[in-house]
Amino acid sequence: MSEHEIRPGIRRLFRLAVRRPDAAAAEADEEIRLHLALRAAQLEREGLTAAEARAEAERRFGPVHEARGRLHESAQRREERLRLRDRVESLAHDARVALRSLRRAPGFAAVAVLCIALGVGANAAAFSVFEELLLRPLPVPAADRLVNVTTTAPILGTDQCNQSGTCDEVLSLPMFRDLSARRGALASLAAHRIFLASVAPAEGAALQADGVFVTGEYFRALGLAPAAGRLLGPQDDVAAGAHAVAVVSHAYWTTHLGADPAAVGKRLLVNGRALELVGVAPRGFDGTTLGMRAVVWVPMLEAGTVDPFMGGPEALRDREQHWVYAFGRLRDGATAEAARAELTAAMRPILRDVELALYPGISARTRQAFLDRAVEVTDGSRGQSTLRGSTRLPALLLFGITGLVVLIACANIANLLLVRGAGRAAEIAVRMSLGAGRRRLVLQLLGESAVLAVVGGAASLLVAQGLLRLIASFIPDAAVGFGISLSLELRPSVLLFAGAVSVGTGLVFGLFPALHATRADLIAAIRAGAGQIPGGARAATRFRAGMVTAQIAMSLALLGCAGLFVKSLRNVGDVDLGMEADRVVQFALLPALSGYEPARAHATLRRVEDELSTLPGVQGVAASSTPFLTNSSNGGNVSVEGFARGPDTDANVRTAQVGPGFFRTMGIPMLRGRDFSAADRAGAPKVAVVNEAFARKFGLGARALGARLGRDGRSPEGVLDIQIVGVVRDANYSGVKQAPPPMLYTPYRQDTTVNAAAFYVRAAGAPAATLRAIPGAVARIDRTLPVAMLKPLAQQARESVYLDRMVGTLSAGFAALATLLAAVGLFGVLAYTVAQRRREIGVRMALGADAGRVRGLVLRQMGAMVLAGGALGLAGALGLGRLAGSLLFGLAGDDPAVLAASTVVVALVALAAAWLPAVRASRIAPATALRAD
Amino acid sequence: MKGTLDVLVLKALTWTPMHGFEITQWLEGRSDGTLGVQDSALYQALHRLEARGLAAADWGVTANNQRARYYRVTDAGRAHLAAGTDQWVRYAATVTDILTAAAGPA
Repeated sequence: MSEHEIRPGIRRLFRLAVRRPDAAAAEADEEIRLHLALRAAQLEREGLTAAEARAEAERRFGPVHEARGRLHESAQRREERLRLRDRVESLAHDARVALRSLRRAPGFAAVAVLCIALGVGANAAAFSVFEELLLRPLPVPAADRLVNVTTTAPILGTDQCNQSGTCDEVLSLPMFRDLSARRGALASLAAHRIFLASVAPAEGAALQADGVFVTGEYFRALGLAPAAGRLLGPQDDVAAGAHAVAVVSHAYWTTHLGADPAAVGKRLLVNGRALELVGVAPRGFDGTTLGMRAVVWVPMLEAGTVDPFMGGPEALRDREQHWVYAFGRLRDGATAEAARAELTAAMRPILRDVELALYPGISARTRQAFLDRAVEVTDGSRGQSTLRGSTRLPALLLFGITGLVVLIACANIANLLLVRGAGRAAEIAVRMSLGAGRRRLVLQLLGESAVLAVVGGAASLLVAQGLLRLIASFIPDAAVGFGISLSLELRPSVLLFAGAVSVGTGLVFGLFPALHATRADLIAAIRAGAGQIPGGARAATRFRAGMVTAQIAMSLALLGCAGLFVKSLRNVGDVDLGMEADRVVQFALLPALSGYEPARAHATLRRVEDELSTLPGVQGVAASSTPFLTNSSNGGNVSVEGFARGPDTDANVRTAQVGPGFFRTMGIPMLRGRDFSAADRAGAPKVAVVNEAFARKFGLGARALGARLGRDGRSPEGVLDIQIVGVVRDANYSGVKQAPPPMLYTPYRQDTTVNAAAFYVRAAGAPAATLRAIPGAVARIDRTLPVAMLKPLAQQARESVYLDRMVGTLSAGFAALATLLAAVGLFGVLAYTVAQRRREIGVRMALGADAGRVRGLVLRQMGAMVLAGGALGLAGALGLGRLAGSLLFGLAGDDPAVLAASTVVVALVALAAAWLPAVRASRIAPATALRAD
Repeated sequence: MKGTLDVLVLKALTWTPMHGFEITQWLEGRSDGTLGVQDSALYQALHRLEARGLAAADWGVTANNQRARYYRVTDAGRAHLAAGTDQWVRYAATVTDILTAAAGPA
């Protein structure tokens, strides 16, 4: 590069003249003039006359007018290209400068990148969860036109609900048919029901997974097109048991059928029933229920033949059984409100004229409430799921908490940049006095923040990835009917989010420091010299103090919130389950899903139970029709000897059909009477064991033993055919956090309809050996039966409270991180202030202030920030506590012990962060400080 | 061949920075005036070279004290010239081979 050329960056830096657009044309004209003159002169020298030479010069040049236009254009193009090159070079130059200056300050760069990486990484991970649970619409066309159709309480008769919705949202199939006949505002209305499916191709192993029964308009309402073959339609929804067809998911087709188009038309065994595979659902669609991945769709009218737990096709016609979930698609231009009014108007006469007669014994109040039931039509764009309801608040809280962590991290970066800017005041002042524009300098300083943001953003993806893996490890594995399938990953949307947050925060929090560093009072800065901060620094001081105060406030709020969750989690861990879960291994067998007849299924369960008790190191075996601590729950109403029952009396109990020696094996203490034995078999007198809550509810007291009872719908009308032979201590049933309900235990060997069971095996020593031995023991009885849910009972108990464990652990981690970041911020500001006030402190000490007084000076500054921040933080903690109240177990959102403890922690951390700068201040030697300049 | 003029101009500028007319004369002196392009095409080539960063220009003064735009070759221009020369030599050799080979079926 020659000495003539001015580097583009410098031309911009010093605001040298830039050529105007029309200047390029004028220059081109000047070149043409000179060329013609020189050419003419040459020709004249060769002997032509002046006029001839002029004409010849123009001829050789080309048609002057036209050529001139072309040259103007090419000169113009040249200018534009040069300007662009200039700009690119100046950007690259800025980036190089930023990188170089950051390399010179590796400590600063590392801390800043770490702050961004931790803050943004946590935030991006929380966003991924938040988006998956609360934002992502179903992968179907125009999902925003989908609506969920439910009814208001009370539902009379029986209800069966699952992860698709609450027990108030289910409809009976006949009522669904009635509504769909009168659905003017809805283009289509569909019902669906998840079932446990064992799916096997003609030759190949069975997969236990989720299936969905669907009515004729299911796929039409969703607007889906098949990936192969056809989807289910109205022609598959005509007569019960007449539609032996199925559609499988794209994922199942790919992984189990080799993505073979010829698989369509072949036979598929679903729960032992042969169906024709007619098509494959589009890729990426796995049902409308969040957390569940359906692999097979079967016509609703096959529910009686395919689902062994339905109890036959009667449920399809029964208005008293409520078990399907409904959704629809709004007609173009129709509103949800119109659909609601229309469907409610359609339902009311049916309730009054048809269904009311089914419930003769109800009270006048219940009757009125029943007749006033309405249809609700709500947003269905994200499908139907109970998971969303239970995880909404935790997901929101975690997202909010990590947002605060980002803010705290950013405040640190802003403070660091501010300190850096002050250190470079002299350099910047010199550049500005040499004519560098402020805009230009601000951009260059922002370039530094941008580089930090880009590097920090990239690092944040690693943090996010790790956190997502941690979050996923809390969520129970998907298993048949239990567990949750979620896609927690760095989706493009999450990458975009992380990028936007890191660059956004880098720039927003770099702006004030950059503006401040280039403020106008240059002369003051130059005169003051290095290490001295002129008057304009007051704004910066206020800004820094404000930032640290806010950090303290936010970290206290987060600590308070985390403290609540941790204490709640401890309460959950301290729950007395009423059983001895240690050394017990659980698993489940569902022979009914393999197409076994009830009698064969029942026999298989009995043989497995016997086989298990012969295993070495096994102390006892217990079977139960309902698995414990899995959110499963069965029950019904009972009539108990001596207990008066009116129309509105609550006579509901939960039930479990269990094997011989159940209570001894589970470690549930027998208070009176006896455990079940092998003698309690079919044909023997019907017996039951109840718990204390049952005895209390029905006022049995001491006369519980020997009392008789009858079960609605199972015992003959008005007959009390079951006798209580034992009373046991209360033990948890559906979950750890749900208090033990009134329990009615009966022997499963007396009820041959039991066709699936959970088994509990108590090991004498460590459960690991038993865990390994179980699959072999089951295979000795039946080689084809899949063993489900095989894990220690203690693990099942932990997984049943996974949400508490996840929220508690993560919020504690984030709060600790926030507090650490705030401490770093506080330390940085105090250390900087001390360095700044060296001379002042030196003077004070020269005038006789002792070390204690100087330390007090620094600590007072810290105290002011902690007091203000603490007050704000306590208010924030109370607010967060109120918000989180419903997630807490065994404590309120304003738990004084937690609030006090977090305040003490913040105060101690602040003191620790302030101590070093305070001590350093007190060690300043007056003579050196004064000599320094 | 396309880009020939650009390469020739760059070659001229490797001797010394020149203004437009000097380049014309340099080229005419070495080709006995047989280049056969209009003078204006040269200026377009110069603007193109400048835009691509192969040449740079500054205003200067001629021996007769006239203001003129002096062009010089940049580092990128030198590299471009080397590459262009190679290409030309290979091209010319190929054409020569074909034209001087004994006639006959391929």
